[in-house]
Parts: sequence; structure tokens; C-alpha cells
Amino acid sequence: MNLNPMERHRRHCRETRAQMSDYLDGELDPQPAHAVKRHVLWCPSCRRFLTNLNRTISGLHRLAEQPTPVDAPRP
Amino acid sequence: MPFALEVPPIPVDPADEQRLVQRARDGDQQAFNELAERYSTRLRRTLFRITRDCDAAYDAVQEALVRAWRNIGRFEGRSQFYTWLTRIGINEAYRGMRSAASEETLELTDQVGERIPAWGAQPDEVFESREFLDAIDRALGELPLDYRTAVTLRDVEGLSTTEAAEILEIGERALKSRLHRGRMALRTQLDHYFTEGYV
Repeated sequence: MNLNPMERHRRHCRETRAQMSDYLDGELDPQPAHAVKRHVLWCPSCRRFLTNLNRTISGLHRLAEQPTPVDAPRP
Repeated sequence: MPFALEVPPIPVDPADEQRLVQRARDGDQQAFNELAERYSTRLRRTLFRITRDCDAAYDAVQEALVRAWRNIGRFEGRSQFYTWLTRIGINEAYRGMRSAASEETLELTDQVGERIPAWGAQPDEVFESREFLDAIDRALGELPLDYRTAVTLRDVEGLSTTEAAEILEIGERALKSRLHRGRMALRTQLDHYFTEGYV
């Protein structure tokens, strides 16, 4: 397929973002992991996307330490 | 002021748990009660994050414990007891929620080429704040049920992909797909924390 540079860039962005969850979980094989790493190095939009996804996941981890209304047995 | 809760780890001593399970399988209710006590707070918190309703969480745990006791003879120990109990609890919670609002499906776009965040992010302290955590919790509560459950088990509860998939009785690929979509939807919901504007 003969894509113009902008379309090719967007395709790479889509492919990269689709793999970000697995990348952050360390569940990507080395080759696709390297491709994600390489793309975010030169794509500021995807780099920011990855950073913010990582912040979201870190926040979810911290939710586990927060109290909930059901911490005590039923009154 | 947030504080760290002492949620029982799973399990501290697998051999001890196996002994308790075996005794419970043999009809020892006290052994079963020990297992229930070990895990019920953690299960209640998980089910609350999924149902977002205190009564529903309490009820689902109660039902799950009754069902687990009745069926402990069928538990073969191929998974951890907590995994098995959580599966029952989630099924009970889903059963309780079925009459509630019909589930919506979320159409996610890949967001490429839609809005480009401007440079100049929020300071890092923002992401450590209670306000940010509250926003994440609210956004989690608004996710479609399947995504919310996957994200809760994997990211909040810290279970592995394998354990979470086992609890939900789905393949790891399906679990990862729900997890990814759930995380992306959350990231989108929290967009205003991440950007100072758009270009």
C-alpha cells in the first residue's frame, strides 16, 4: 500500500497506541516492544499519550490503598 | 487523609491455605470460616468497585460465601481459593446488577488525529493528589461493566492477566482487550488533567 507520509505516520501512531497497554505491562515480545519504544522517541503526541496512560495506570494502582465505604463488615 | 489499608495478601502460606481448603472440603465449617474471614474484606472492596453500591457489594459477598460453602466439594484446587471465590462473587454481583440499567457499549476511537495536546503539562504533584485519585475512581465507575471489572481486577487488585482471565472465565486475549479499552477510556476521561489546552 502506497501511503503518503502523513497517513503512514498516523498508521504508526494507531499501531503504537494499540500496543501501549501490553507495552506498559511488559507483555510485548521484544520486537514489537522495540517498535513502540522507537516510535514514541520521535513522536511527541504518542510519547505524551504513553506518559498519560502510564499515569492513569499508576493512579489505579494507588486506588487499592484508598478506603472504600465497605471496608468494615456490614453494620 | 488517605491511609493504607491492610488488605490480606493472597495467600501468605499456600500450604496453610491448602490445609484449610481440604478441611473445609471435609465439612469443617470453622476452616471455611477462616478462609472467608481471610478474604471477605478484599472481595467486598473489589465488588464495591465493580458495583459502585454498598448494599450490592455486601449482598454479593454474602451470597458468594453461601454458594462457596455449598460447593466447596467441587473446588478442585486448580486455582487459588481467592480466585475461585472472586469468580463466584463477581457472578453474584453481576446477577444483582442485571436488573439495573442496561449496559451500554462504549465505542472507542483510536483518537489519532483528533485532538493534539498542547505542550505544557500539569506539574507532577497533580498526579499524586487525592483529587486526581478521586477523578480516576469516578471515571472507573462510569466505565462499561466489562471494562470496569477487567481494570479493577488487573490494575486495582493487582491480579495477573492469567488470574483475572481465569476469574472472568475468558481467554487472556479477551481480558487484555477489555483492559486496554478500559484504560484508554479512562485516559480520555482524565484528559483535562493531562493537558493545558489543545492546538
